[in-house]
Amino acid sequence: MIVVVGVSHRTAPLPVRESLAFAPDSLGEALRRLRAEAGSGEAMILSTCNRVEVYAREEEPPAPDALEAFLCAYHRRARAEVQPFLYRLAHEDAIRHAFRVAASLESMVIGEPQILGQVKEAYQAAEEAGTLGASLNALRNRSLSAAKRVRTETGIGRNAVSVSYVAVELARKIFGHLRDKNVLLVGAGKMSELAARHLVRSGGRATVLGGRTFARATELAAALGGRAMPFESLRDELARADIVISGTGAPGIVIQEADVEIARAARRGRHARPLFLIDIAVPRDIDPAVRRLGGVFLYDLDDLRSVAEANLRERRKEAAAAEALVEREVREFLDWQKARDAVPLLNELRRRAETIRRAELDKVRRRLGPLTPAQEEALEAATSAIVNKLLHPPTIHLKEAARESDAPEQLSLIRKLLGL
Amino acid sequence: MVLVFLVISMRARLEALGLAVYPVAFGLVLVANLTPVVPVGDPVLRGLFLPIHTTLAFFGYAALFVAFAGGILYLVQERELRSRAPRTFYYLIPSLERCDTLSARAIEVGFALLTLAIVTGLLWSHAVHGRYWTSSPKEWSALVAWTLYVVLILARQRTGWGGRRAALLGIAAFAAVIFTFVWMNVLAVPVSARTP
Repeated sequence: MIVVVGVSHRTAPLPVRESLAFAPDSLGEALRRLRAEAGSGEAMILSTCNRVEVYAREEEPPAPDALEAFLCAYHRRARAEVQPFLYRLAHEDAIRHAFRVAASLESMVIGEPQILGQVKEAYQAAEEAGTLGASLNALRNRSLSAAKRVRTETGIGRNAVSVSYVAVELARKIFGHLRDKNVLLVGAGKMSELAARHLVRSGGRATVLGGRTFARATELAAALGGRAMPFESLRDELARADIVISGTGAPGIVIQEADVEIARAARRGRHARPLFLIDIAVPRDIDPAVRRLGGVFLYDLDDLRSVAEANLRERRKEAAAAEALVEREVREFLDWQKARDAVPLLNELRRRAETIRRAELDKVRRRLGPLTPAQEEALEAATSAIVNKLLHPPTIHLKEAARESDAPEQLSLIRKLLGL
Repeated sequence: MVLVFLVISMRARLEALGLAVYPVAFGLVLVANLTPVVPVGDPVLRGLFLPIHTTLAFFGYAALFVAFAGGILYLVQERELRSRAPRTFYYLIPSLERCDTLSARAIEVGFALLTLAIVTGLLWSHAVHGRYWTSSPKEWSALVAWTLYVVLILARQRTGWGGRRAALLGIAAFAAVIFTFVWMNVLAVPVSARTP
């Protein structure tokens, strides 16, 4: 059976998660130690900033707290300190949890895309350390394919929930594509840089306006593959711009309504094109009055946050569909796993029948003496047919019984009846 | 109309347009099914110009309706973006530029068809009434619509006009088109009694 023990953002504060985290390059060694100490044949460790989890296959009945003991011993933490934050799931619950984590349903920000890659890497590390057996490998295949279905078939990861991505998405909602759109950065702060990077990656062309610290503007312009201009050329640059990101540390308004009005009048042949203004400065850089102007879309930090919240609400709506999909996949996996439990019994049954058939055939041959090839063939066919027809109903029933909730009892009864 | 929409959606993949196209197409089919079929025995309906005229007009109306729908979507999306608190439509409707270019393309096509439809309509009128221009409201509204579209196309090409104002003008022009269409086809004024 599969067991998982761990801490996550839901159960433990950051200091606890930090103290239990595994560095990527120490994973192999930790996995080998885990196998030696906890005595589980298969193990996998998932360590991200929001969760640390140890997955293992344990024999029945399981050692009650081998994984907990390992986790504490490895990080030299006292059991009593860590225990309140730990959760332990087994059987079906552990499998469901593995599916939900991979599908990003357990993430702090539902639908965030990084977790899938992190789960993949965790399985990869276990494979390299030689601790990934048949059970965990099956869990890996099924949970990752379910996670991919969730991403492609539901809208759980569709809308941006971080401020800089929201800005990019809004730009797409206004302009469609961003190829060759002129992006004007006023001020060279961290957040404007992040948003500008996204925009440039989508094909935008950056211009950075520098104020007192022109060196910083030149540096950022080089990083974005754009050009740097002095702040005095604001109106000319505004006339060229499609998207403006303003994030200066100035105490007052930097871009006045008149600046925007004049700049729009100066756009020859393009005055109807929209102008998207993003003000991420606190206090604000752009005069809110520019909202009155036609074709001007101004978003400040609060506006971007409210869009992000609306997007998150959309994601939560989609999460219901994702939950249902994951639940179906989990059920299928459990059925498959149970059907697999019947396989050894089925093989044994077939082997037994075949041995009896061969033995009886030999007896017949000894009594009848040499046979013609045609007779030999007829004898083979007749005996095989008897065996197959006799075994057909129990084979079907076994596969079905394995899916029932009382499978273990049913299987052992069948075993007894058939004398296996 | 659905046909025109399908051709467009193959090229542009604009599912959101269906929001506007399908309900109207449904309504038209419903009206067509509820309207009693007028026996086509009237001699004026028999010329060669009339079928060409109606076919051209039909496809022209469909293209102009797509432009109209693009304009509506533009205005709704613009309002969503200005509200700075997106609701359902924000997620469904494509970008502003997309709505704008869609309208512009559809108007170019629709305008060409409309022009040809008007020309064949005049020729038909001449064949039936002996006069090109009979001063009927239908002719006047067609002329008004045509003029509005000329203004719109020129404004777009010459001065880079577009966006909100273009959307509003496209909607106004389509209102004239609807009047032209309704006058003739839905009020079902007998063709021979229509003109003096």
